[in-house]
Amino acid sequence: MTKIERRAMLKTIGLASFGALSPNLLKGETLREPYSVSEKPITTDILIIGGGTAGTIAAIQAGRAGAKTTLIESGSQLGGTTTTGGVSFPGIFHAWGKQIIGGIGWELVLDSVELNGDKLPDFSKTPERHWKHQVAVNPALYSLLAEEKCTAAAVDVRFYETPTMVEYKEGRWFVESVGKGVKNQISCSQIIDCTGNALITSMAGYDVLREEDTQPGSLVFSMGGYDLKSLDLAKIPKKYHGYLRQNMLESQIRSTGENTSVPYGYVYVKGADSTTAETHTLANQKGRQNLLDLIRDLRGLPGCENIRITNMKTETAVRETYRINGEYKVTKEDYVSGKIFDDSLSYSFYPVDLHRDGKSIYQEFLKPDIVASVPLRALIPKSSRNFLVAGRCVSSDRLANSGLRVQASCMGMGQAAAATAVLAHKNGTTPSDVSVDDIKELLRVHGAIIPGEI
Amino acid sequence: MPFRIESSTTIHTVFRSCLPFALLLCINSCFLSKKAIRYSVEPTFTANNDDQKKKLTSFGDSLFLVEAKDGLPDYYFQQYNTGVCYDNKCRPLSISIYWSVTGRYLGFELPKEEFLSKTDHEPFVPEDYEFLNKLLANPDLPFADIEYYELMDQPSDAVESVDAVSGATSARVSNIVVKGAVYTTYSLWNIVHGRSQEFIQEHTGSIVTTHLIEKILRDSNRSDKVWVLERFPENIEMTSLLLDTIEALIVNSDFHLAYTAIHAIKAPRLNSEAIQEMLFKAYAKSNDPSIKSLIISKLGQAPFLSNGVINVSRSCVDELKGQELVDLLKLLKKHEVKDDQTLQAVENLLSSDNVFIVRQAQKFLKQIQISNE
Ligand SMILES: Cc1cc2nc3c(=O)[nH]c(=O)nc-3n(C[C@H](O)[C@H](O)[C@H](O)COP(=O)(O)OP(=O)(O)OC[C@H]3O[C@@H](n4cnc5c(N)ncnc54)[C@H](O)[C@@H]3O)c2cc1C
Repeated sequence: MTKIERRAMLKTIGLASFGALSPNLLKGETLREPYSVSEKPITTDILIIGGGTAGTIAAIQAGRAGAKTTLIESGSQLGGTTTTGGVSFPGIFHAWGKQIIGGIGWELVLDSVELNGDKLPDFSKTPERHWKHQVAVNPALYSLLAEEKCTAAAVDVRFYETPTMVEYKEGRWFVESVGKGVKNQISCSQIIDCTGNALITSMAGYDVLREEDTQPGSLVFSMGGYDLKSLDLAKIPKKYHGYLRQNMLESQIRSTGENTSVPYGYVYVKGADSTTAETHTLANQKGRQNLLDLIRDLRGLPGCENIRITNMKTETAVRETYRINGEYKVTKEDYVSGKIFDDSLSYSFYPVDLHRDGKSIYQEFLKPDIVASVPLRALIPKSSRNFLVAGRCVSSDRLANSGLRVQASCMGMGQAAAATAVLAHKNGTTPSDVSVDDIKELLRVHGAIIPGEI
Repeated sequence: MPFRIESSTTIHTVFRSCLPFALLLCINSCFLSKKAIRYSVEPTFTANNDDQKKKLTSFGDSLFLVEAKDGLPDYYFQQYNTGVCYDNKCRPLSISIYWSVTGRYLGFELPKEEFLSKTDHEPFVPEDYEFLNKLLANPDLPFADIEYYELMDQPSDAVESVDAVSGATSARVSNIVVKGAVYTTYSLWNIVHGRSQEFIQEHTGSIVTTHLIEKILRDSNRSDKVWVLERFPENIEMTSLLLDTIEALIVNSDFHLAYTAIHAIKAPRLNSEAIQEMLFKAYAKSNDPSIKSLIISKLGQAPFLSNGVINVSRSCVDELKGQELVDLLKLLKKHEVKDDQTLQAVENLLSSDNVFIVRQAQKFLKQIQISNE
């Protein structure tokens, strides 16, 4: 029997009877029906694409506010850069002795800290280095807790999927989403693009921007098999010192604001771009090759002969790709002056922090008592309907973006975008028409901190 | 473990092995000043002159604990009288350091007519003393992790022989030392935050009473409160005054104090209904969602839930949203609270227009039903 004949026959006589016909089957074995992509219509209120730093929080917020919520994530776990990328020290929730970002992101971070038996630093003391107020989390726990919270909020999490088409028709979005063995036609009222790359924004036909040169990505790893203290650094070329030192940072019980570092070694990956499967594959391959080269080099150095990799993240973490061209573009001046807009929905605190050419970092610190904020308009692509973004693709100039992109800020944006989307859905309108006061009220109910209210 | 502060000779030896200390602790014995030089971190701190009249406990090596009028430990002080040697010359060092009962630096005092001077023998001016006092009060300075030879920019192999003053102050510390007195700052900071402080903390920990805890939590400096909460004894009597004090700290807007106060209460304590009820009162009053969440998860560690907590929690079920509702229902479920009134309160949620809330109520009621079967 030819293959085609066999298929046709399977279709007509059904699986069970075919099992009986087949002479090669052992007892208990059945032949599976030939593979066909399952196609399913899905109707939802809010569709979030990207279950990373911002998207996870957005999904939980939307679900808790009572909206039917679907979350598409092309990877296999929640958390994105915070977990899969290995940047497991979200910051910054506190500035100048006060908490500035709360809500669901902070809840998730605090739960992770508690369940890991860690201790928070005393945030009332302003540290002499801003990053000391980042909170190290156990990435495994973080992703487990995120998933538990999504489940409790009845979020339909769809791993291994990615949209291939988005179309706006008569007040609703229609999205084709493809994954392993599935192809879904999703109809939704509101979309939140949390891919980090503004990919869905671009697919929807709205403008996205990027610089000719982008910041490098990083492949995060850790090493063992050497003792930093006993190395004779004079005999080791300077370019390796950073790798050897950085890797030895220890996660400690945090009793003061002074010790929140985690083991965090990384190799830079120039031009890393996670926007498409192809560019992300390339970023991963480059990162892995760079790491292999580094390990080989290190093993040739005195005292490092037994160096080995003890952990490597599965993906290269990406700092910068595309940003949306929003209803408002946050400028560096807005950022460093701590401008609060009428429609500011969340705070952001970090130095302007631009990794240049993989060799140096341009940093500009915020002056005392300055805290930047994110207006709703920066989350809405220009001329869009029923569409929001959250995360590092927020509409901003490059320098403002280098501060806005940090994790606590992304979480704050995720919550704000979701609260807006839920109200837009309930009112049958588009995000820019939702009353800002109503959004703020909903955010307050869910523990978020509103700019201007602390 | 009996505590021994090194005798003068030991201290002397220690300093000798760190020769460049020498210039640093240069206490000049010229008689320039008539009044004793004294600096403290709190203007209200008044020590010394009448120490003789107060009850003192000595631990040897001039370390004393002074009792307050109410008989509670008040502060510690230590008089350092030693020699600091450099270039084969020894100079006397005489200074008293004061600590709170928690080992927090309170201040220092020089004997009458003595003063500190810099490496170039210039005496400290008032601004130098004030800055020094501020630096000594900062426990987060990195001096404990810095070797003395790292204070100056010079080759490390030259440390033992080179005149330490000749190098430039290392950039790493230049902003956290009194100008021209890098070693003085460094070594005094290490005295303040060294073994005596450790001993003080251990000793206070061993004699702490309910009254002392109440006093610290009510009246003291914030870091003393954190200190005592972080070491909260497991078997101390919890008076109602102490419970009120802890409740006030949890409700307080200072997150770290509230966070530390909740963590001060360990699981075995939670078989006390009074403690559970104090926690739940704080829950009702707190405006911080994360503090509320911590309280509920703390109550989840209790072996049972007091009726008082059940009654109040039932009455607030219908006001809760999001994670707060999830937390509270989880707590009631964990303690198998399934009386009619509670079930009614949860059933009322079924008419909410938020499907998330309805789902939480359904889940709770279903779990109760299963556990009944
Ligand atoms: C190396 C490095 C170091 C950093 N250091 C810090 C730091 O110290 N502190 C700090 O706070 N921040 C730091 N950041 C910045 C911060 O981590 C990121 O900017 C932030 O996490 C971005 O969040 P996001 O939600 O926008 O994107 P992500 O967290 O990257 O999430 C995007 C998610 O979308 C998914 N996705 C993408 N495309 C699709 C698709 N087509 N379909 C479905 N799913 C898709 C991805 O799999 C991912 O899960 C660092 C970033 C990097 C890369």
